[in-house]
Amino acid sequence: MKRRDFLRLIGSSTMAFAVTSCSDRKANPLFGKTGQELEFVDFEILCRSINPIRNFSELVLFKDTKRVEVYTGRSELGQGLTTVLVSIVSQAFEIEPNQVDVFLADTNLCPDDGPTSGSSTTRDIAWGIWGACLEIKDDIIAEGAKLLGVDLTEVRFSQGTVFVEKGTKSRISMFEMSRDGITFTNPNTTPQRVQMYRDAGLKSVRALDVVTGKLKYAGDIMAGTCRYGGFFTPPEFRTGYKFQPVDLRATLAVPGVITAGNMGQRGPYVVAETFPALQEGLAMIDRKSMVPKKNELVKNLSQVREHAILRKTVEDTGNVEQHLKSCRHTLSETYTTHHYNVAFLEPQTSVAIVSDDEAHVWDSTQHAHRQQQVVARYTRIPVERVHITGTNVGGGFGGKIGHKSGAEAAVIAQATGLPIKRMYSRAEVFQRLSRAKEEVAVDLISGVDDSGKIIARSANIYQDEGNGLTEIYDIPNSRIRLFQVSQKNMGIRHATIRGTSFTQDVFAMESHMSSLAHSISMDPLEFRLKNALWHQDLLHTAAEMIGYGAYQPPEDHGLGMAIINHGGQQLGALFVEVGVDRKTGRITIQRMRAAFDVGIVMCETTATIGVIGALIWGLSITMKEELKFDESRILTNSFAGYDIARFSDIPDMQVKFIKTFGDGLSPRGCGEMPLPLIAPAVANAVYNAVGVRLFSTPFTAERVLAAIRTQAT
Amino acid sequence: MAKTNKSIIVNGEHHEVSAESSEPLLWVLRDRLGLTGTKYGCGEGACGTCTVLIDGKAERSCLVAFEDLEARHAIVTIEGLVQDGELSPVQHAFVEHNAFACGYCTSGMIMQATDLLTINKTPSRSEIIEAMNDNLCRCATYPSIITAIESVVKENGSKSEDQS
Ligand code: FES
Ligand code: FES
Repeated sequence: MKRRDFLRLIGSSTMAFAVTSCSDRKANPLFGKTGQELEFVDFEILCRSINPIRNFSELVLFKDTKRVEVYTGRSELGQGLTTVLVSIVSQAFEIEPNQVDVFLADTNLCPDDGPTSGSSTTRDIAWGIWGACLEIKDDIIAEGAKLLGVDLTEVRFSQGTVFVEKGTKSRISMFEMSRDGITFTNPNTTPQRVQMYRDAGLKSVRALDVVTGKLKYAGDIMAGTCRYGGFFTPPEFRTGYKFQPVDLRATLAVPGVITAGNMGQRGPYVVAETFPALQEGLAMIDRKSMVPKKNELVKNLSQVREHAILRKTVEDTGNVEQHLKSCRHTLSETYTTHHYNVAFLEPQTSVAIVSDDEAHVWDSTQHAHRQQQVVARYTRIPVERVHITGTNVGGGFGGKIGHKSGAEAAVIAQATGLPIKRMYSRAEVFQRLSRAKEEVAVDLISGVDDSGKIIARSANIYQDEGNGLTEIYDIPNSRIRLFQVSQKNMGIRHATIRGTSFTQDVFAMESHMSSLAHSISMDPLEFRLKNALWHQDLLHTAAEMIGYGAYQPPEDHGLGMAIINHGGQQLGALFVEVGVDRKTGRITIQRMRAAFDVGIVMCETTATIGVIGALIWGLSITMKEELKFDESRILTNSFAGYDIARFSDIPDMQVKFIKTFGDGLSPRGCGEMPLPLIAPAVANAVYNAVGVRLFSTPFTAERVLAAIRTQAT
Repeated sequence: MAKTNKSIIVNGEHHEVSAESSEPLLWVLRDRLGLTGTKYGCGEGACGTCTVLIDGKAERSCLVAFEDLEARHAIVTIEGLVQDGELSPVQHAFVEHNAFACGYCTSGMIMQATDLLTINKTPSRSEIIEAMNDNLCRCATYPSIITAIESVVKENGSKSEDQS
């Protein structure tokens, strides 16, 4: 559909799309002089020249309320989408931020803009909105000149108003034009420059609601007026699980339990007056008749390789075998990783009201339109009669895209006629999402010549999801293959957590790079600079930030580094300093210094908080988190047994955004990319500190101590 | 099991509440009084999202049973920190320093920090970390939260200098 057709369809007087701004240039004193080297460009000219209309889904429309409304199907996860959109629109039209209303993730109001994931929302949606605003502004100026009876060259636009430059003081505001019902049809007017960028994006527009507890999450909808509903969640993996109807008398006897029933293959459900009563009711369900099939778990690496089938060849250049044979230096290594949980603080939550042929679900979701399909499937209500209202999301990280709380709330509401709140307990978050990140094994063989140039490399990656890696080194003979280990054999299903498997791949690849450098007695920085395709500037910047070369770490301290390319869009380099306690194996990360190229940074405060958060996430999963399983059960079911990063774990951190490639003009996203850098950078720093190579995550004190002891013997 | 009726004081107001005696204060606040600013994160005292003040002291509301509350207890939730339309200094600092991302942990963080700054007006960085350490933030906004709290400490420090 053409944009203008879409506009006519929704009956708005005007609309448009596309891009960005960089409203916040202030450095956060905590993180050092961030953004110092970013070039600030004229975004207006940029987006007019590049691609003013990238996406037809988002919409800006003026109403006679002197307000601008913005609609997108994406969700606010705390990444600052609302703030960025308000910032952009208020800057584009030079109006007050409080004149902008943002509507997100509502299937009745917003178009389907795809899932809020992959660090793509700023890149795709905000970019689109900005261009739209500019295009509308052109229309406004042209229309304003016409209404004022003057030539286009005689008017200027300022603060939402078209002025006649000289002589008369005539003016007309864009809102007045809108009220007159004028449709703007000509986007090809002369560009007018927006002179001023404001700081609307500096502070979150949601801030007041957040700090006063007013911001509504799904669990806050209809507090006290709906009932809590839930399905029995077996502690076993659900693969092959068959539910038999169970006796629910004990459950029904729990005070506060209103009703309970068996729902075929969905299993038993319970409805209660309160959340604690629901948990108690679910706990009373007798599981004796519900023993799941045992999973055939793959227990060791040779089994992984044996079960694996080739899924995809990501890269295949030159002749790897032949050159590996002829290289003077080759190194063969295998790296493995562990399981962790998404562990957002807000469990998946949904509230559903269902009548005969209609459902309304408030959902903590990263993709409202997908939830609409799922609810329709579960309830057999036509999809157009399912209304999903996406609420604020208390952390998503990929775990709130395909979740079932909305559909489960809806089917229980349908079965009971009651408004139902389905809020996962913390244990359910672990049980239902701990089939999450897979164990990945990566076999690597590389060959290097005497000068330190990598001649050939083979990488076999065993993982069930993801697209592997984008090559970041200049290797003439390179092969990267992805092997699938069937879910049945792994016994653990997979879901996305903050990036799709490349976290594990980067650990292997970047650890291997430093290992390779050491194997030929070359400095790992020099080795990377020699072989990297694009990361030289980032490496130099981050190396300087940490004082690489000039700074001599004390005994048992070391420096390590890693680089990353996330989808060819986002580049990063990280240096860390660690201290290792040889007696206990405990690693302490002292400093982190990172440089990123993420294209234009639209709101530096939000972007900095995002990348710092991702680095800490990386620290958390690398150093602390590990899910435990036995043959059939997930044993880690609470925060008490699963420690995530906390205040005392935070090292001294500084980040910088710089421009290293491309036009550097478009936003490319930044939320996922920093995370995978931690594991290899820390492993490389540990090697630098105590000469021990860590081949498996997480880097618990026991594992490090074992490696130190093995080395000593 | 019979419900218990009692009067409790929340944010300076008396409320007659009827609830199961074992029901945690968290759910009394959220579902019986509609004070949803206090959040559920784990239900077992391990995350801090449910933190409220009871007689000025930070407590995990998921661990306080209704039956253990007494009429004399003054309970303050995030909604009760605003006085005469003014944000508390900690709330104000969280706004100024963007000390949140998704915001789910923020109520608990603010209540915990309020407790700390009531006991110790000028805590050091390590005292801040120690006091806040059991409050989790999965978005890992810890550095901004420390900055926000330190800004209140600085303010308190200059106030006490003025007074001396
Ligand atoms: S919900 Fe109370 S500490 Fe987590
Ligand atoms: S801001 Fe998301 S959990 Fe703290």
